[in-house]
Amino acid sequence: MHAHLPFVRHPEHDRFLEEEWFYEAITETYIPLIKVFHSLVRDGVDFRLTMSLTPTLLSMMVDPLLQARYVRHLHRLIELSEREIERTRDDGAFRPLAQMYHDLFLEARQIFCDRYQNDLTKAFKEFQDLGKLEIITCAATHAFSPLLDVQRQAVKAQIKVGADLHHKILGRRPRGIWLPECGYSPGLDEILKEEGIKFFVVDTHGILFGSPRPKYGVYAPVYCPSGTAAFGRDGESSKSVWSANEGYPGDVHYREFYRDIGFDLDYDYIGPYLNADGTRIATGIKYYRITGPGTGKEPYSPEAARQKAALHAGNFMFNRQKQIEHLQGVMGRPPVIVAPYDAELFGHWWFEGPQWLDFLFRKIHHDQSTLKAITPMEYLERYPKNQVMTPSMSSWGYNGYAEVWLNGSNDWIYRHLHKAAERMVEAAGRHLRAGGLERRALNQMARELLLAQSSDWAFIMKTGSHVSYAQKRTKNHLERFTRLWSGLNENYIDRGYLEGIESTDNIFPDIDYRVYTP
Amino acid sequence: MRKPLRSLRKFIRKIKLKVTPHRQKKQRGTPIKRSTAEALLRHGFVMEEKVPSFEPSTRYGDNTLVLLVRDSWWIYAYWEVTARREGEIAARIRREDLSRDKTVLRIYDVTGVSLLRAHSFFDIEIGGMADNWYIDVGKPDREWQAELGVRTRQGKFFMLLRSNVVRTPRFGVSDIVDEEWVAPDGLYDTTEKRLKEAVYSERPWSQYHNPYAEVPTAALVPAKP
Repeated sequence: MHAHLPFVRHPEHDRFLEEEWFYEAITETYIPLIKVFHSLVRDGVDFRLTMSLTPTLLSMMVDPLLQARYVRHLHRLIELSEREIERTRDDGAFRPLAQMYHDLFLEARQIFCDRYQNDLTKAFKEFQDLGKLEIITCAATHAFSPLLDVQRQAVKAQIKVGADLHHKILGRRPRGIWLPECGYSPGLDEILKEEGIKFFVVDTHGILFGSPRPKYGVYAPVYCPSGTAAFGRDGESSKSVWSANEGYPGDVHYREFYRDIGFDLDYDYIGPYLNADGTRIATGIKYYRITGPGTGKEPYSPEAARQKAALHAGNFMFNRQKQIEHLQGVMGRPPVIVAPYDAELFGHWWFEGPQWLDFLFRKIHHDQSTLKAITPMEYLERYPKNQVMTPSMSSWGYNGYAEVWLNGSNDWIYRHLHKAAERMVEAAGRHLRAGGLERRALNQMARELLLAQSSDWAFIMKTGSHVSYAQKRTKNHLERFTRLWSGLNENYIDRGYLEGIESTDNIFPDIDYRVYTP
Repeated sequence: MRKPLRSLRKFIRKIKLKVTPHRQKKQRGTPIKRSTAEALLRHGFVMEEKVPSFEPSTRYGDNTLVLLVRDSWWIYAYWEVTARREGEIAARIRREDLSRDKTVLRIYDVTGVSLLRAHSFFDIEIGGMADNWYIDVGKPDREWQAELGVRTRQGKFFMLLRSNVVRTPRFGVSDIVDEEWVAPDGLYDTTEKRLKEAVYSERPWSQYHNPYAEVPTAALVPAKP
């Protein structure tokens, strides 16, 4: 499961639209998942889940400003849900739903504030230390490396800075990595090896089109020539969750994502809970079920949805059992099925996703003996003899390669990202023993370069909503980088300016710019 | 190989971008002081006067040509060539008594060999203002290198810039089989149809549904390719 959000933190504004992505994900995805893990442990259900928490997401989770703002956000939701209970008091269908949201928000506050003192990384670490979660890392700012590896040092820095932050926050070196967007090109595995990373995941064709031809397809890992293991995504299990037509989340009993009271209710009533500038946004309170393809929607029934989640979990397990029985017969060794999903799909969009996961782990534990949830590392320990081959360049993006991040909407960024990386490497090499202000400027240049390299900006430019924000972020970080670089070259570093952006772009507090020296 | 329509569309888009006023409601960025603006200009960034927003320049004063891989059939090139370098080449062309015809991007198939021993090459004629191009190389699993240069009327090529080498990814299973690791029958289908499905299959949720979008949209999943 891949949990990721780009680094969005705007202390210069009291409320900021794009920060809401993080707040929504906490309430709707991260806390619900933590609740699932808790209940499984409490009930003695043995489970394994491999989860990436990206360095940008970890950084936001430990940031006091964003933590405080989340609490404020949650209080607004609690207040809104109280008003909703009052507003729907005579409505037999909506009233219990308003109550459900109210209870969920109160519980979120209890978990976030009381149990984990505003720091959710503690929760994930807890399950890591219990051996249930294998938390893996990601590139520092989710950079899509196949388009940046003309400067190998830039990719190395992405991997090293990410792994170091992971270690600092979660207390262990990461053993695995989720390559941003599953973006792999041959040679990347060597960089991973240097950071002690033992495995990564590629899309199906990354393995199938690798060379020599893979004996077991995606049903066993392979070793790259560097010795790093690569696991391939299984298409069949993935499809059952995210397929638009056949996927579970589209079931008519599940909650409808697009009908939110932020859009449905009178402006005068809902206004205070919308975006600071008054534009309508989703609040997270949604009363309808998917119902069908038309616009006529029926009220949501949590009990009917719960039954469907149980049914779908059973179906998923049954299909995996059949798949594994078949594969084992052909292969003569236990296959591994790698089924990666975006974490934010669960709960945020597919409201019942965490419940489905809960049912699935319980069923796997109690109801059968054909399959077992396992982490890639455990599989490698158990079956260390695997084929050596070079996976093929690939990604899990549309059409399977780099097109999502390299097209007419975003291709202009690469000459600047490459140039900035070239300048960074050159400047780091020229100032090997920088101290004082110079050192701070170089460290901040490294932060700005990393932030500019987030694949999220190119992705957003392509998908079309929030485009101006993504463009602005790319330009802002390039600008800050360039300004510091100019100052460094002219032996004049503007202390006030540097301090300003150090406090705004405060990610990777322990970064050492020498990560850019070869 | 040339894609005139694509480049035309791109050109029109660029013009449109230039003539369309920026629809910016609020400035979220930090305004930049005058002295910095000057410093930035010197280092290859153009500042707009009215709007204190930052536009990276396309000119760094470099001679550079970079190739990136888009997929198994397409690569992308961007470049910058200095007036000085252009002047040098123009002078050489004059010295040899030749006359300039077209600026071309010459794409070499250098699979397993150096550029001097390239298997083949083809030229793309580049319009005056273009500084990047999508190239339909049409062949997976090959290595490519490019040169931007001037072709004379007499057919001689003068190189302005030379690129890095890239490799388009294989599209299909490898012909190389490790004898110790021969696939058992029936494990996975190697027919072209099935393999294409592996690439063009439905993608993860995040690839269709912008996880950051707060505006409801009915277009959850695009049409299949």
